[in-house]
Amino acid sequence: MSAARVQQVPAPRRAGGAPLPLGLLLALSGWVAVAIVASHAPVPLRTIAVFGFSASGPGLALTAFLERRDRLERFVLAVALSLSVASLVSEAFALAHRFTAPTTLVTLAALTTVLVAVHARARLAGVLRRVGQLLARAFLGNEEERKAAMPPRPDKEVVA
Amino acid sequence: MTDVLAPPACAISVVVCAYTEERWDEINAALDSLRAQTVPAEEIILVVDHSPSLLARARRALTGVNVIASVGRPGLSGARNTGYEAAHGDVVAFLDDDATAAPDWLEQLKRTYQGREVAGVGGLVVPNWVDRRPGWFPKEFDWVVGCSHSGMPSSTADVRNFVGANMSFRRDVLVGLGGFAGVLGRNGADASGCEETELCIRASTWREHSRLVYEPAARVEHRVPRARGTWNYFLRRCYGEGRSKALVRKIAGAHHGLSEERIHVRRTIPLAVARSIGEALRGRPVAGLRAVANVTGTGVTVLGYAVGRVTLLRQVARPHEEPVAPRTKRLAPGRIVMRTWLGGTAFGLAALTLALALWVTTIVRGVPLDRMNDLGLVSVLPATYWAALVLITVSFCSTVRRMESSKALLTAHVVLLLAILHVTPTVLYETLRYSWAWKHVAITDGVIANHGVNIAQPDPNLVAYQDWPGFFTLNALLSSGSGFASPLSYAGWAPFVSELSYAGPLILIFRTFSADQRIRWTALWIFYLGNWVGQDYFSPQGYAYFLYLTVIAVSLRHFTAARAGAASLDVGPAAVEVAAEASRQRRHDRRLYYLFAVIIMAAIASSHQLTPFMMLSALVLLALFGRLRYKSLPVVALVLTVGWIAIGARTFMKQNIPSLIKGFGDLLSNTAVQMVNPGQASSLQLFGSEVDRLLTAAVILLGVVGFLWRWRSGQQRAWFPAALLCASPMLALAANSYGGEIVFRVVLFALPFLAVLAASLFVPAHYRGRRRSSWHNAARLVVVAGLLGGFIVSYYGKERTNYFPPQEVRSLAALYRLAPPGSLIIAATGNQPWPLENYQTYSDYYFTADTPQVLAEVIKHPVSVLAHDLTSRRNAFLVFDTTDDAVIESTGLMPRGAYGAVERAVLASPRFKVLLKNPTTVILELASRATTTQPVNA
Repeated sequence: MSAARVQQVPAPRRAGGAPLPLGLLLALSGWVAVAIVASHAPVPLRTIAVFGFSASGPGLALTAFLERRDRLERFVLAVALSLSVASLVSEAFALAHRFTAPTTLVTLAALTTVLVAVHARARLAGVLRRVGQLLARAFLGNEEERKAAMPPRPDKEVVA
Repeated sequence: MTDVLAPPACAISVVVCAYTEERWDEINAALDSLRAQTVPAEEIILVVDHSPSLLARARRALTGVNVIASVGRPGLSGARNTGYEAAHGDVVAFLDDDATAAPDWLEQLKRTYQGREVAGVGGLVVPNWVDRRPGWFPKEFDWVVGCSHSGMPSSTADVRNFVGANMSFRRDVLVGLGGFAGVLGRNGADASGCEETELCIRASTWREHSRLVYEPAARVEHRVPRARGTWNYFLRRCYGEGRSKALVRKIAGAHHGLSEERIHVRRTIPLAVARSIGEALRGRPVAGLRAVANVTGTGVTVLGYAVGRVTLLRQVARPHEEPVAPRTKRLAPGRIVMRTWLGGTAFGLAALTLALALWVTTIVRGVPLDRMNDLGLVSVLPATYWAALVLITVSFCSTVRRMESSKALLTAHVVLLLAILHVTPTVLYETLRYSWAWKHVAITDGVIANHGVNIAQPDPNLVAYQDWPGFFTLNALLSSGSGFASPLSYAGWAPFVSELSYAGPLILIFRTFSADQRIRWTALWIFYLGNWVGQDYFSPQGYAYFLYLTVIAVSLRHFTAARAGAASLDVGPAAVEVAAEASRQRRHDRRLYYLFAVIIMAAIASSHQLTPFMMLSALVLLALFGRLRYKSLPVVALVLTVGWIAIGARTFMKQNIPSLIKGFGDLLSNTAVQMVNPGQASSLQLFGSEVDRLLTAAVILLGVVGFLWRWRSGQQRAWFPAALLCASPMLALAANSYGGEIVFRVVLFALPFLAVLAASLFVPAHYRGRRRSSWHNAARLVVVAGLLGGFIVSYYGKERTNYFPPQEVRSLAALYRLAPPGSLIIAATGNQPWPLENYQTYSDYYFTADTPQVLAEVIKHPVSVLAHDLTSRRNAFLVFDTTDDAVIESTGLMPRGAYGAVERAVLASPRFKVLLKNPTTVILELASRATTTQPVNA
């Protein structure tokens, strides 16, 4: 097909989710909450940390895998999933008569970190690829310019 | 001889406005009549109102006429304004394009412009019927066809306004007044308008002695086409004129605005009717029809006026503003569009702020909780509280009916409503509300203290909690992680937080049924007002309900059956790639949503007994009726539910299997709910429970009618899942009575879907125009106000039993300091603020929970029976408190006054020793026991 028949459409959206720095923040937030609890900080700070992380941390890590971007749905799911995971984990400890808040929080933080890492792995591959391209262009720049200077050939690659 | 006081020179420019080529012949007739005047016009201007073809033709074909295009807004006023601005004569006369002037028209006009105080002159307009004049058409209504009506003066006189087809003004008056007001006039075939009246009224206030003179000798003939001689047109014009009169009155004030109409209606019409009847009696029946037309026309005009006045009370005219069109309507150009003041954002914000202030005032001033009667909080809440509720209801209804209302404003309304309804008890009560909340706090305390769930607990009352521990372990994490000694510190906020959390999944659910934001937000409001069952407190049910709503939201949004809509073949390759990518995304996401649903269902299965079954029946019904893509999901739900019961909840099942089997299928006894003994309950409490039932019935009825209405509009396919999910909780009615609570729980689980079906009633199924909506908006306000009234009584009616006075709580704390471990505590009912110690360290016995025979014995011989009970244990205590009194009185557990009699008998008897006595609580033990030394003061 000739170039003229290709429609101008926006490029399809690639894997969504929080960009890398936010993922890092999320993974750290669990450990921050653990630290705050362990250090016996004043109650208001501990309340914010524990409630905030337990009600949103694991859930946000899970919904990050979603490609669809609907803010309300993501938020609702994040809260529901966080609370579900928190109650399942705390329940497991309680049935084993080993329940304490710090151990449960540590488990939740570990879970969140693992999820963020899995999510990041997929995106890391993409980032590395792009970094490689940039480096290639830097070192092999002349070759690219030479190619651009040649007259355009009938483009076989455009045919779907 | 020249008179030094000769009248000033009076050059008249004539302006004719035209808008369509179809009237070409009439335009030419008008212009010919102007060319044939005895006194020639200074200039003739033809203004073409936004019609390029007519403009071109006129410029080509007409001579001696200044043809210009209208530069104002489309409509007669814009054209006339363009005309007078282009004119250079001293006087500007207007002639309609379908009228012809008598040869001496301009001569008569000039003659009348004698003094400087004459600001304008109007003349007689005679109808020129194309066909014959209809016999029934009364002369008093000739204004309907744009002519002078009988009742106008028959010789030169001052008038208030002219007929538009034959009027003239001094040019400087027009310039000074700024011309005709644009918003009121006629455009094309629109049938209402009274811009001329409005300008005339303004012109008469131009200078102190300005007059408008009517000169019947200045004649014009106005062509009346066939279409204007019909009864329908007649009535429509009468109604439109009435509406316009209301607007004129508003703009010009009552005195000027209606002076002539008053005379017309009071004198002219009745005389005309009398004359017509006389004529009819004399043998001309057509005259009778004229009388009928007179009366009907007057009536319709008055009706239009009344409607216009009422509409205007809610709206404000801004004549020179651009019309604001709501998203779904297309308005005819030039129609009156008035900005709704009552629905605007400014009003909403003001009302919200005022409601917030009123509510905060209520909280700060406090409420005399000790003076509650059997209507609970309803009997002691002050007027500021009711005012806040009324205000927020009105504000919400007027905000939600506009499609363009901002979501932020609507959200603010919802949040404030929840605060007013659910934060009020939290901040007013110093103690935690509702005995079951206390119980749940105690269980959580136990989890924290024991580092786990104590399955070995023998108390059958607690097994249900121990075997479904999800909620309790979660709160153990939250409270001990935060450093609270007990969730008691925050449990009071559970109602507000829970209800607020429901809003998220509810909006997601409502989105799947309607794109109309009015329906969604009304549904949310109705849900909150219908949720009187009060399962939002600190409880596994409140928590599991949020999870249930989320799973349903995900299922409805992503798991409904595959939609038709593959990409069409003649689309370019890039678009195909986009579609393929989009569908790959959807598939990828759907698998994730499935996983999420399973995780949440696992949490539900281990947190609450009933919700997994509601979840299961909902999914099963959706799958059965083909509305669920993944038929495996109900199977997974079943496995999770049954799996948990088999593994984690063995103790409960062992203890309760017999009664579960008995209750299964027993629809009648399962649904028999309520009052232990209605005969003994107080009348206020009976009223309260009636209101409960009415409120539930109202919501159910609205939901059913809503679905039927959608069916009638052919939309039942889209709304069918809502009906299914209303019905699915009812399967549980057959299964178990859930301690008599099942009917409430069914209402709770069906409520979101009943609410959205009900909300759809208040928006027309097919939008047909503004007027229809008024009925819907009014109905919404009435229904919402009624539901609110019902909610307040249902939710707050039982507060005498739910509120624990601080003194009572302190008294019981004192008891625990006294009582050695293993003691027996006897009270009338279990409705007590028991902390954890009660469950772990003591035993309790409630004599109203025993068999009726035993209870009767207690009532008959309180002293001996209770003394005997107290001897059964080494340490035993007897407690009487006001909350028990309230419970017994309201539910009729004991005959009226029996509880008080028992208490008095025990106090009077020497066999008992008082340990503690204050207005809320009395604690006694056997006098023969010497365990405690002296009475305790609390």
